[in-house]
Amino acid sequence: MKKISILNYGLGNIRSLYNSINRVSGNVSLYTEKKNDNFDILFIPGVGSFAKAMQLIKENEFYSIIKKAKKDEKIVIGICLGMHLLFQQGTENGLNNGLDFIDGTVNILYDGKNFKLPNIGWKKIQVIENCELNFMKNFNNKKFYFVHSYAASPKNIEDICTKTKYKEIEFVSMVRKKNVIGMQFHPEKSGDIGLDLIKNIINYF
Amino acid sequence: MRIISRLDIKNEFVIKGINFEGLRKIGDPSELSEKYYKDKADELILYDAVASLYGRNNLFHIIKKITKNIFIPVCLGGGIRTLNDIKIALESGADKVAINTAFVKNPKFLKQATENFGVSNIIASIEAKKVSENEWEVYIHNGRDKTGLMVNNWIQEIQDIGCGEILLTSVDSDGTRSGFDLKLLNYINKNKISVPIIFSGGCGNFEHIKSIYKVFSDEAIAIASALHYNKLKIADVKKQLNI
Repeated sequence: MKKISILNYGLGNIRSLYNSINRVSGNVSLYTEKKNDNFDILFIPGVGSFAKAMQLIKENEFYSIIKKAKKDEKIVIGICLGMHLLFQQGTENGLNNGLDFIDGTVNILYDGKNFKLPNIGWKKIQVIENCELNFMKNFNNKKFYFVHSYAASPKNIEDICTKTKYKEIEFVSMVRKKNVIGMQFHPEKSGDIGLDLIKNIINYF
Repeated sequence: MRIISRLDIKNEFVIKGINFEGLRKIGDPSELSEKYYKDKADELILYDAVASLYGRNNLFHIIKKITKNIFIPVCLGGGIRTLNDIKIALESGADKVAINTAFVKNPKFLKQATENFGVSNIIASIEAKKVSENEWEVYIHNGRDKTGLMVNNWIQEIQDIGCGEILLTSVDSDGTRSGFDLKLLNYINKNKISVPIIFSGGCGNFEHIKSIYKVFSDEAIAIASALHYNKLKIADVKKQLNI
């Protein structure tokens, strides 16, 4: 059975992520309760803002743990803000460097008039044709729960897995580059379909 | 439109009153939460109906229990007064907290809350009661006490400070199942509100939802009594609205 760890790097609602992984896999722990890097899959949840999250990660030993996991070809999965951190730079509260696993930046969705942020609610994901994760075709046009004001803009189109529309804006809702995956939506809060996706990802690798 | 199931809780039971008065027992929070989860609710709001009056929230253990089986966003409201309360709520499995009384008494707490936990976890809850033909007042302590603060002024202040969502409950319509308070909706001028709104109070049947859907399809509604008394099923509503 694959060992799964959730990076518990600050104050946040990671309990629902824990509960959902626990439901589909059963072998999950929080990375602070058990201080060892004996895991196959590392989840990076989102907590607060890009700047604050990177600061918390760098202040603790988490930075080297994440980098090492990536280097050792373990699976690294970022959710929501955790996805943003996988990129080179974020623009939330000033320019900040991310983990630099995927080329691109993270920007505010849109700041025009009558455009409500955060984008909260259930939206469809559209799977890009050349997405290499075969199981994703089963999730094409399924609705997942989103809550975010910023979105990632990957530089390389081959890193994009799904896209989603909010009003007239299309943004990247899932990325994958080798052993690194990012999801803008919250599979852990997207009902049975979300649990199914988590299960598929865990079983794929 | 997000359709949210709202459960008001007192002493381990889901309860419901009319205009926040005359509370009646409905059932067990865990069982009802799972029922609404299976009925395709987009989110759940659990509100401790007496917490702010007695100065504490008693639902942490209930949240802990229900979130083991429910995989949609769960918001906890009622009696949350400190950053530590928010921390415990999130650690218990809540995804968001809804706060009314503590924000009204100390707007700086709203700023502290969003700075520490991010805006998306923080819902500013407003209990609005009509006081004259064109004016609604902010009430606290679960619709019991007036504040002298007018709803539109308070919405402006909340937005200037920043929050993730606004939960707006019509005290006059709550529990009546006689329809959403469309005059209140008109009064707040939703186009000037830059964060998502959850409108609560008065939903009794599908026609009520249809009447608000026309002007409110980008926002969210919360339903309590109509679900508790089996007047509506969320899955049916979604099918009929094709959402």
